[in-house]
This record gives sequence, C-alpha cells and structure tokens, in this order.
Amino acid sequence: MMNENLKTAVDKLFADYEMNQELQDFKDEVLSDLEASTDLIKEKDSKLSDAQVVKQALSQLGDLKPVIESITVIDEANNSQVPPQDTLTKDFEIAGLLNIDIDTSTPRVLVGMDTNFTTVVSIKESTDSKVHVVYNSKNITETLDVAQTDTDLRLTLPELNWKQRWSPFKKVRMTLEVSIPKKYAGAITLNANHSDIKVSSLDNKKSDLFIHAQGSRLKLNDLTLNSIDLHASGAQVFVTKVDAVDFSSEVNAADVIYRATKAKFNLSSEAGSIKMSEIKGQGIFSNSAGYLNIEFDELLGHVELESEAGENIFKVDPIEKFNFELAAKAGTVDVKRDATFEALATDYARGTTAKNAKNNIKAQIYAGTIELR
Amino acid sequence: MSRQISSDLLRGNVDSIVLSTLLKNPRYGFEIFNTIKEKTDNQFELKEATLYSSYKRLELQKDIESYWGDETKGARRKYYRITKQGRKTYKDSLANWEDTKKIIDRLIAE
Repeated sequence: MMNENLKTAVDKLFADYEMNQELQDFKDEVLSDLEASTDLIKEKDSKLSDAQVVKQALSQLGDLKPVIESITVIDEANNSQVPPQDTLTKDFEIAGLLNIDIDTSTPRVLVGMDTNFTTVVSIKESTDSKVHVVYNSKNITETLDVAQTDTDLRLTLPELNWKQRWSPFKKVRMTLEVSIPKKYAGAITLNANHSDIKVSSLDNKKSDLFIHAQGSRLKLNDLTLNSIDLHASGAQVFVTKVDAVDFSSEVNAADVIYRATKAKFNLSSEAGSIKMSEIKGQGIFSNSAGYLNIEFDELLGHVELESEAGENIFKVDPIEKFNFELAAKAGTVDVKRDATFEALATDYARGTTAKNAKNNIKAQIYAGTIELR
Repeated sequence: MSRQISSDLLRGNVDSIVLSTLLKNPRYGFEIFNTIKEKTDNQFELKEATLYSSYKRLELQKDIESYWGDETKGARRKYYRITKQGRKTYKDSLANWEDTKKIIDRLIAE
C-alpha cells in the first residue's frame, strides 16, 4: 500500500517531463531512495499513518524540478556540438608603454562555489620585442577586455554572470598568457582573485611588479626585477630564484614560501606562514601571530624583526658574524649560536660577542618565540 | 537569521560535504542524506533534491561514480563511490575551506 502511494507520488513529480533513459534512471533512483526514507520514518514513529509518512518523506525530498530540468538541459547541450569557445591573440609594441595591468579580480566567487571555473594567468618572457597576449576561454561568451592608452595596457578578464556561476554542468575556464620582452622597463600590475598565477623567466631589471592576490595560487619563478610589491590574503605564494633590489610583501593569512631569493626585504605577515630558505638579503620583518622561518645564506645588511605573539626562527650561516639587538616584553628567545647581542629586556638570551661584526640583527618581541640558530 | 546564513553556507559546500560521506565506503542517495542529517544532529537539513543536484554535478566532474547495487538484499539501490580524482577534489576543497574559514573569522570578528 505504502509503495503504491509512493509510486503514484513519484509518477506525479515526473509527469510533466518527456521521459528519456537518464530521466527514467533518476526516477527509479528517487523511488528507491523514498522507499528507504519512508522505512526510516516509520521505524522512528510507528503511529504515523501511511499518508503522513509519505508526506514527511516528500517534504524531506524537496523540489526536484531543478535537477529534472538540468537532466533535460544536459541532453540539449549534448546535441549542440561545439561548446562556446573563444580565442584572442594580440601583439603590442612596447614603445612608450609604462604599465601593463592585468586584472582577474572581478568578483566571481562565493564561498565554496569556486569549483565551476578556473582562471589561469601566465606571465613570461617574450621571444621578440613585442608584448604578446593570448587569451582562451571555454563556456563563457564575454571576452577579454583590452584597453590601451599611450602609456597603459590594461587586460581585464570577464565577469561570470549568475547563470554561468550556478550552471554546474558547464565549467568555465579562462587562460591568459602575457609575454613581455626583456627591453620593457615599465611596471607590471596584477590584481588577482581566485586565480592561478604564474610569473616566470623575466629579466627586466628596471621593472616593478605589483601584485594584489586574494585566495589565489601564485608562483614567481626565475625573475630579475627592480622591485616586487606583493599583497596577498588567503593565498598560496611560491617564490623561487628571484632577484630584486626591493621586495616588499604584506601577507594576511597566506602561506608563503621563498627559496633562493635575493633582495632587501620589507615583509609583514599577519596570521600567515612564511618559510624562507637560501636567502641572501637584509631588511625588516614584522610578524604578528604568524609563523616565520628564515634561513639566511648571506646577510647583506641589517635585519630587523618585530614580532607580536608569533613564532620566529632565524638561521644564519655559522661563519657569519652579526650583532644581535633584542627587546622582548614576554615570550621566549632562544639563541642557539654565538652572536653579538644586546638584550634589553629578557632573562633568556645568552651569547658571546663577535668582534668586527658587520651587520646587526635587531629583534623586538611582545609575546611569542624567537629562535636564532 | 543565523540559521539562514548557516544553511546558505551548507548549500554552498554541498559537494565537499557529499564527498566527505563517501570517503570510507560507497553509499546510496538516501544513505548520504541521512548520514549528513545525523552528522549535524538533525540541526540542519539539506533537501534530498539539493543532494541529487550535487551527485549529478560530481558525477559529471568524475569525482564520483554511480552503479546500481545488487538486488539480492532487498531493494535495488543506486550507489555512489568516490573516485581517485574525487579524493583529490575533496582534499583541495578542504584546504580552500580552511583558508576561507580563517578569512571569514577575521572579517566577522570585531
């Protein structure tokens, strides 16, 4: 009796649609799941009438219309053979160009809904003297927006509309490749939101690279630049083989790895994790409630650290002599090697004086740990 | 109001939630629904229809596979199992979620 009731109810749900094999399969699935559902409802409350049980099961089921219609939509999609695809290739002269601006930041992500599209941006060296832009997209009709003035080249990826955002069966993919010649001396600005970004093999000693990244994966590899200014939040950043006069970065809840990098740093981290190894450099490091681990191959100047409630580990080449200047309010400072230091307010730091030390390491800590090896 | 926000969040992460229920063994549709319901102590309820959309989506992305089960033990049921790629998707979305959580925590905090 109950099964008959269910069958009638399911028939009704599918009555308006033309049956095909996939829909029939789905209908069978819904019926068998509803049987399991009613069994459980009955098991929990045996006093309920059959009609009440079915009613409760259907209310748990919810509205099947979107699923059923999506199955019909898929069939239509299968019939149209070519998915929308877009390719755009353009070349630009660099004469007079001062800024190349790439923007993938158009808001297009809701929490947890970022599986429907991929954005991949790759910036690399051009083989000739022009800037080359190659854009490819799948399942999105809007194209790359290219705006050019005498001094600026601006590339903006299109925004997904609501339909594209919520249409789970059509994955949107955008790839943008920008090649930049060695002679280019202007700035490169990158504004990224939930994108995969790769900047590699650039040898532009006069160029400045500005990056604002949110929730993105960012790889900077094999770069020689004048300066890098990186702002990242909730992002993953990998920096390898980078040589820059100045490297400033402000990261927030980001995971950052630097390797084989040479620069004068100005680095600040909030609640993130920064691991740096094979570092040649100097600079200011500020860490609040994050994790900072730096292995210096070579100190090129003074190092200053300010830390608030974070964990900081410094490793300096054992033959390197340096002065260590420390101010601690609370927390632990663990100096595991000889260093010249001046402890202003701690009862923990110990060490010996290194004569003729060229460079200072200056640390200020409010709470947290500093380890110097 | 708080319930409203929470169920929006739940719906937004439904694919990851479904994948998580399949990590150990294949399950059929209603079983997935019931597992999720029990996991939340009946506090929130996603409709089965929402889950069906998710199964379709995940299947198309090759994160899960479906097959009709053996009928010898009572009713014939459609089962879902997670694929290798699905496990990777799950791992990735878990990491994404951790990041998102951190940011939301920061943004919502005073």
